[in-house]
Amino acid sequence: MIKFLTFIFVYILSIGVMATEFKVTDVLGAPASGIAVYLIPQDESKLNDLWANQTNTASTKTIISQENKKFSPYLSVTSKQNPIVFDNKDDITHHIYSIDKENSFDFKLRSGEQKSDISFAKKTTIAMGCNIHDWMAGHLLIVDTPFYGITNIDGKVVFSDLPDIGFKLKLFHPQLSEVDNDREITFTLTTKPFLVKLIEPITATPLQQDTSEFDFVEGYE
Amino acid sequence: MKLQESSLKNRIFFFFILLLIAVQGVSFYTTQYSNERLEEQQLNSQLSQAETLLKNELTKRSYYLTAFAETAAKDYGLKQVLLEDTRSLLIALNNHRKRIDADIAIAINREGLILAELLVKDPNQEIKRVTPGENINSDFSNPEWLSGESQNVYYSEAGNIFQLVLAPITSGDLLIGHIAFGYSLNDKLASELANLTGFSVGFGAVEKNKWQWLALKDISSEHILEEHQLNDFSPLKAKSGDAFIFTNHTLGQLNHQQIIATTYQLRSSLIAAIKQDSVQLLLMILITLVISLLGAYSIASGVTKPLRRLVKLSKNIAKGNYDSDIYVGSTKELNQLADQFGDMQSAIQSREKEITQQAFLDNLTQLPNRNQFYRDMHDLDQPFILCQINIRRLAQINDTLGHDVGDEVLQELAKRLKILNKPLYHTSGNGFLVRFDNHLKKHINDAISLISKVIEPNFLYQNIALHLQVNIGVTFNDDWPQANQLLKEVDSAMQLAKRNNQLYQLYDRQIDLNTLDRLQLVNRLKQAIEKGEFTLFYQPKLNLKNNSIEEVEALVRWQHPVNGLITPDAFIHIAEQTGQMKALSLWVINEAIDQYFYWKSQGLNLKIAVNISPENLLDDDFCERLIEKLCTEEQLYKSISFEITEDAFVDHNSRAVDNISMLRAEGIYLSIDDYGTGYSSLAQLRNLSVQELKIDRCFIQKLIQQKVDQLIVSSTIQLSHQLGLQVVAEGVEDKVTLQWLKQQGCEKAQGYYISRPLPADEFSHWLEHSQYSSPSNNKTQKEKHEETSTIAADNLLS
Repeated sequence: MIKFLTFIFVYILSIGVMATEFKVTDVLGAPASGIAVYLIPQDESKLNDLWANQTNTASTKTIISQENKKFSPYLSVTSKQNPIVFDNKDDITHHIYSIDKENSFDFKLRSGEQKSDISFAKKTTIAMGCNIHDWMAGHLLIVDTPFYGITNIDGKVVFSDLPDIGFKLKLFHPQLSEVDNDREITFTLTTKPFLVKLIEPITATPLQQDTSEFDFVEGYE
Repeated sequence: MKLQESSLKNRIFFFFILLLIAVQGVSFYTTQYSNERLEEQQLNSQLSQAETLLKNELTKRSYYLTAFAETAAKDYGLKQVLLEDTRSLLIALNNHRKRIDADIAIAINREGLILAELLVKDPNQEIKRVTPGENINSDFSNPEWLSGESQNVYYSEAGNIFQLVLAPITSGDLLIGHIAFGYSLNDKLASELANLTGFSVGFGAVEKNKWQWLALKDISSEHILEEHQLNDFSPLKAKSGDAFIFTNHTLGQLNHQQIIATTYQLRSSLIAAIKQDSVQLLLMILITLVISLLGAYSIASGVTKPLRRLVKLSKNIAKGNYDSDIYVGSTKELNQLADQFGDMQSAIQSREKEITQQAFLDNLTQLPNRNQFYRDMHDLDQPFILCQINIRRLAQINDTLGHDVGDEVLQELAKRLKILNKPLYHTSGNGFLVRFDNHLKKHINDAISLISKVIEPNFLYQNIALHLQVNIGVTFNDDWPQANQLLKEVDSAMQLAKRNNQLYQLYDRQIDLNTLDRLQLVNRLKQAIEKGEFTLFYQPKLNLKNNSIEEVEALVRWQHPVNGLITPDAFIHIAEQTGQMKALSLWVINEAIDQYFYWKSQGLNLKIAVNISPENLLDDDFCERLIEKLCTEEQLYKSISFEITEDAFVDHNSRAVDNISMLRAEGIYLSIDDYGTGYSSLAQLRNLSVQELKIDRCFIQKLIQQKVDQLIVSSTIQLSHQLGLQVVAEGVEDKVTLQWLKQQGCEKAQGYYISRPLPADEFSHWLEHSQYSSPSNNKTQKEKHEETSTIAADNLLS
């Protein structure tokens, strides 16, 4: 444990790079959770350098589960080329689609099946639905930066190993106002958490629930 | 029956007529009114039903449109082609449109750009031609509807108004566009709705109260809403009383226009229906009225028929026919009435009998009374003698022995007269009639003796023997006079018998005439004074000392217009009894005064003696008026003197004596008239301060033949002179008597030898030509004497 702490300390000092914490609050100052936060270099030409320096970027799978006839999580964020896994944890078939003009897809996913052959090469947002379960809705944010995350219950997201190249912070959530979604926030790296306050209220995230009771299909395989 | 009295039957009938007309009128009016109300209500309710149907239909359409549009929006195929090429999208859109036969279909992307649009041309035709809309790739005109929620709106394009439903298309929860389907508000729709509701249906757009027709189906029979009328007709302006009844239903809003559906019906069709109803109703009512009136007439007759029977019955009763049969009908009440009539009839019958008995019988003696006498006289055609028998002094019996005894006496007399066995009547309190039929005038004595015979025996009443005395008046039916005339006759005769103390008196017309004259005089006397029917006659008093006429006695005469000249004997008594003596005496005095002045103006100075009644002397007012008249500056009392009969003093009436003394004190000259016939007392002569005695004519007229008269007259003259009175002899009818009186020292003489009483003008004429001198013409007296002596003698003889 001591060894680990010493390592981190040495690492931070030696690289001059340190972990940075961001906290997103709504207009009232309450923590806003589930919001995608990503950083892009202020000079976007440095994006490729950023990718080049990214040594430890083992491609991480983004798993979008269909559980209880909901997309879970509602909002997923990943960087381009990262594989995306759709995992049907329900005992029922889903027909997942996107009709995004460039990134449209649709496939049926039977109970317990996974589909992992989908990835996207470009930054984009994809709205997904289930053709069988109208109420199901999920969103996928594909970013072209390695620094992205989703605010936890405290509205916080932490990025480590940030090079000091000058970033701007962006937020995304389907229910965020366009103002907030389009905002580009510059910041300076400090040891203190950086506070981002939403300009406009966030609308409620859909509950992905059928408005009518739908018990009769439960007994069928 | 009077004309203005309407019969009960007519009244009942007319009452029914009025009632029926009123009832039917009210019923017609209310039925008509309620019919109209009902029709209107029905129509209104139909209208509201139609409106409800219309609303439902349009709501249903919108619901199905909405449901369909939402379903189509979720269609994955559509979602997949939404962002593909337009052609693919149009085909997919048309597939959906066909399913509900929509007139318009639109696909709009997230940014409000119209991706695809389909319009049905000529939507009224069976085979439809679908064309792409012109607005593809241009912005949707109403971006406010693109909210992500379903919208049910009215949409205008290419001159049509559509009922349009927009539904959002989502990918997951991401809104990627809208899809819309709609129906056009066209004549076909109006027609469908009109068929459904049974009313004319139209759609209109209203902007600023201006109605613009969108579509119309007019199903009214007259199709009055022709094309050119559409502009004039506006459901907005319609009000009650218009040719239409209608309801408007606002469907929705389009920009600034209101989309309104209207349902209407021609009122005329409604009114026509009501009119037809009215005619039928009126006909029914008229028929009912006629039948009711017939019924009313029969009821009226039925009610009044028994009444008419009762009227007839009571007429019979009025006529005295009590045997009428009473039958009025089967009605209980009327039969009760009829029974009452029957009871009344018999009650009247018995009461009439009783009354008849009372009316024709005397209560006391139970003999037939005067009424019965009249009745019996009706059918009598044989000669008879009628006797009225009255008990004498019945009043005295009543007064002394009491009315009971009087009644007993009457009953006894009745009993006795019954023995005669002749028709007998008790006609008055104290009067019985006996009729001797078939008796003639010559049988009167027999009849009287029959009556006397039954009355003769004494009537023994409680040991008092009463001798019944009667007076009988008798008459006979000479020339069939009236019954009441006969009664009058026997009564007059009886009265005369009573006055004359006779047993009986036969009626004579003369009896009546006397009574009648007297009556007429009484009635006429008052008028006679007013009308100046009295005149004064003058008889001279000759002064025996100087053989001159210085004084006359005024004697009143009644110039009766019918009976001629009436002497005072006939009317003075009546005037006294009827209280008219004062007026008469005053008239005489005034007349005498006038005559005195007249003569004086003619140069004739004659004193006038006026007779006044003893009654006048009892009247203070009369005496005062005498004094007023005479004791004036003209000193008439020296010229007008008065003659009073002895009766004035007989009653020793102090008032008369006082008044005489008063007159005398005023210097009025008084003489006592008719001296020696009455009950005059010498004592009175002494007390009375009269100046003259007039010896009654009965002592003078046969003076020369009767020594006794000479004795009386000469001694009276002596006595009078002794008492200082002058003496006048009345009734001097010859020269010898005049000479004798002159010798005896009598001062004045009066009588036919000198002159009978003459009217004033004749008197002055007589005096002028007489042998006697008068105060004014003393100088010519002697010549005249020669001329007129023969004439005077002639007068005396005639």
